[in-house]
Amino acid sequence: MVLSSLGIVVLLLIILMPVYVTFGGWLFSEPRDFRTAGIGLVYMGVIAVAMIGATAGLGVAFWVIANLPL
Amino acid sequence: MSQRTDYSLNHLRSVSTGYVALLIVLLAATLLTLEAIIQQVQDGLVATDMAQQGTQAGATWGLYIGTFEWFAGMAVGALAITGYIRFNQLEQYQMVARLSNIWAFICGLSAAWLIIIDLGTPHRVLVILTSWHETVLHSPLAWDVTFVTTLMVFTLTMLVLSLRLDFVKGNPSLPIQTRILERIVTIGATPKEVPKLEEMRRWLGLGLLVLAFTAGMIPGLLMGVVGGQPGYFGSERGIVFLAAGLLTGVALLNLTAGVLRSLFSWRDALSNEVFRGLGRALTLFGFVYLIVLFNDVLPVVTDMAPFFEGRIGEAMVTGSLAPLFWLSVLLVAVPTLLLAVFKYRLGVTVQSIYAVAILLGVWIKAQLTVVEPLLFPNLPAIEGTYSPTVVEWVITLGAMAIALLLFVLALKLIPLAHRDTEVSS
Repeated sequence: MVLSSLGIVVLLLIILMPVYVTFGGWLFSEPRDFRTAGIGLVYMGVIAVAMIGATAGLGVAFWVIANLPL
Repeated sequence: MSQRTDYSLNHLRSVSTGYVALLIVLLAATLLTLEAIIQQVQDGLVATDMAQQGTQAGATWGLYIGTFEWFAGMAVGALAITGYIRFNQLEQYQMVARLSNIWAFICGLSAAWLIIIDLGTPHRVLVILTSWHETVLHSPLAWDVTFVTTLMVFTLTMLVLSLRLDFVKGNPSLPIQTRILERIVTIGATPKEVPKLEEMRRWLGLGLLVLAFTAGMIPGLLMGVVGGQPGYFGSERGIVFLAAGLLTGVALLNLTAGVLRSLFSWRDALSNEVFRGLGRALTLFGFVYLIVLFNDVLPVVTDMAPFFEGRIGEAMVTGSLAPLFWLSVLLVAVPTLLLAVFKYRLGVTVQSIYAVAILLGVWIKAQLTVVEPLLFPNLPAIEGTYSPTVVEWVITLGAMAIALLLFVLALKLIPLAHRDTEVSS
């Protein structure tokens, strides 16, 4: 198997499996309440963006440290 | 006045002298770590002993990656515990679920932190992010970054959702910092959403379990796919990592719960029965770890092992690395056997001490796992050396201190169990 297609399989079937399980459960389990499920999804989205943004911010912070006149 | 033995929110309000002293020590350790980081970032990775490559047979991975594996394993173990308790709605273990939830996030954060430290320069961090869409197609390291990010997002979401549920269900008097947290996590909340929130917490628990037993093996697997080094390549690396992670996750919970019960005497949320459950889990995963380790080591110490693999096995079992290897085995095996013999009824203090021994044992083995193949490469008669520099030690121990600092701060912010009402003692 070529490595690039292996990567897609690993990403879509393995790494993202908990995402499918969680989102599926939130949206389709009883009691059906799309408002609360939607709020949960928004919280998770905000956390994900904050996490990736914080990593980028850390990269910038390291750049600042690397160039401190010490 | 007799001391309270049920859980109260007083840990959010009171600040003891011991707490302040611990905070000062941990803050000092954090500042020292920052100084070491400045030195490493300004001078480059030459500040470490990880600069030897190729025929010099030095270690290009060392304490940072070994401790990353240890933290990532604990994160996987802790999130599996959170997931198991939340999915099965084991209310008796709700404080353990909250503690493991907090630890899973902190350990994930510490693991990610050490990866960034190991990369060395800020530029590489940004390259990982900007090239992710390409590297994720072929790089196990990119899968690992994706897994650790998912882990942190999921554990933090679990923390937010479970706190939202607790806050919506009850309205105890909270100190200002926790009141602010409550406002953040209860945006748009109504009492009507309680049944749905309980169900969502349950499904997220299942998501965490799935995450632990699928992607959770990737930090181990990413070594298993390195074909160029004897000792790394192999099909068992993911399982070895998972076994160590489950054990250290449970050990960390045993230790944390033991210390909290000694400090606060919470006999309801951290009952004898809960400790026996934790002790049973520690024993079970201790044996699983030892069995997996036996299977991992045995093939490379037989006479039929390939030459380069056999050389590592020999160094580990009878050679230069033997003292550390056997120490790591004993630190896990002795407590596990004693727990089994005495059926986890040795008391909270002894169980906590055993947990410390197990954490240390697995940490030593994690370092060996990373370093061994690099010191004994595919080159006959060449054996390398690795002596971590002061900068490496300070940053590594500093990562542990920062993790503890985050937990100690979380104790003043996050309620550890649900309370409908609160009466101050």
